[in-house]
Amino acid sequence: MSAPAGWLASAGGAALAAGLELDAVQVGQFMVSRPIVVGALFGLLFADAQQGLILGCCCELLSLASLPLGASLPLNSTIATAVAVLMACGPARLPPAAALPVGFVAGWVHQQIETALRHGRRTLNTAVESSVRERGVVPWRRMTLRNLAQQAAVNIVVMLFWALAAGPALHRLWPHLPAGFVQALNFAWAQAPWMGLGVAFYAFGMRP
Amino acid sequence: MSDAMTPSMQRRLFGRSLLLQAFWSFERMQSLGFAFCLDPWIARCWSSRDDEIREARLRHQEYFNTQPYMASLVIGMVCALEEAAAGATDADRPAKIERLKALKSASAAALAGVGDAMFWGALRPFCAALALTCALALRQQPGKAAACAAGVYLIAHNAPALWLRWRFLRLGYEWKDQIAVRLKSWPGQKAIRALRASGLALALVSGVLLLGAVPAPQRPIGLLALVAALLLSLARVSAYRIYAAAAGAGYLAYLAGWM
Repeated sequence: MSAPAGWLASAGGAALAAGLELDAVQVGQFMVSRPIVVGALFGLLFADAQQGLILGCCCELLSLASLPLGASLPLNSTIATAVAVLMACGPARLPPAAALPVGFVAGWVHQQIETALRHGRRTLNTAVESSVRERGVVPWRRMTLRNLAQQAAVNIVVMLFWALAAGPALHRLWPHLPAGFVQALNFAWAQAPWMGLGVAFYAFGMRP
Repeated sequence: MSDAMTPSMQRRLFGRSLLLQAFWSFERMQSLGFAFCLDPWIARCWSSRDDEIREARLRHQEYFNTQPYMASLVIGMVCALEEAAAGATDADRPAKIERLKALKSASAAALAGVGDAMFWGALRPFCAALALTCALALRQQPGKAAACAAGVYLIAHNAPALWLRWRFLRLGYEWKDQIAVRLKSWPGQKAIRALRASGLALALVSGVLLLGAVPAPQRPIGLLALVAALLLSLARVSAYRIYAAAAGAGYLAYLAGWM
């Protein structure tokens, strides 16, 4: 794939991830947003099924013990996986040892933005109550579309930042990183499936 | 009682229940989503009584939170109780509405515990272990492995989850305030135990397949990482911090000249 076509594909992948992320909380919870599904899908899309699947499996296992209970908001594993696979299989071509931690950072950044969005939605309750008192009805269709569009727009902005801005920057930065730093990332990456299995064993014994 | 939960109404409620968390906020959590789900039923129950419709719409703006799949049971139950309140005499109605609010709140809390254990604590890890086993078993054919892992995960999760979400709407409507009593005879705990045991067995199979997939010199350190991650998870350290700690250990090993 030529470089411009590759970045265009990255932008398409970013838009797809933004849509899939809606499944995590807002629409359906059909599990199409789970890391193993996102990793496999993105791997197939970027013609590197193996790398996508490995990254997806690692993210899935490492996120198994993070449950969305009550008001707790775990790191966004959908965004983390999508960014990691885009970094590893897209035009940035980062090694997976670097792509996975970059994905975790992207998931953490999205978690902070999502927290702000959830705080901001308190105004919707007031708006709905006023609407019921004044007109007796609620414009549900408009509100739902607006709310989902807002979330999708935030997802797209976050994903595009990582795909089109951070990706090229990290691609240039990677060869200049100190050897010790690279070795540390390689070591953690080599242990990722094992650590994931350890977390999975814990998850099977955990009482939510 | 007439069966007002027609298939078309059940489809409408089910479709809307998929958007239960579309308006999730820290202040009242799923309250707006719940009000959105119930809106067609409220309009049908209290038709032509504008003041009562307003009151019904406002009372479902209150705090509400439960496991999203188990919410179907609460929606079904509230439908039956709203219908009963709408059909009650003026003298009986306030007491019925108070009872509805109390039951809605209590069942949401109780069902959240059951649903979290069943769907997040058992079904989801089971599906992950199943998909991982498929991926490792087919690792020589990456394309097939990716398609199989994603497909198996989605089918294994959605087949029971979607069926239960659909069925719970009807059961909640039929059981009404008897949800707690009826759930005692429901084999949920057995299903949770079975899913956890099967998932654990699949995770062990995955571990064996992983052992076969990595070069022999890397196996001891991999197993050490597994045990360390398990112990740190038991100490409530998040998986991402465990990953960062592994990178830190790698850096120390580099400084010590072991790599």
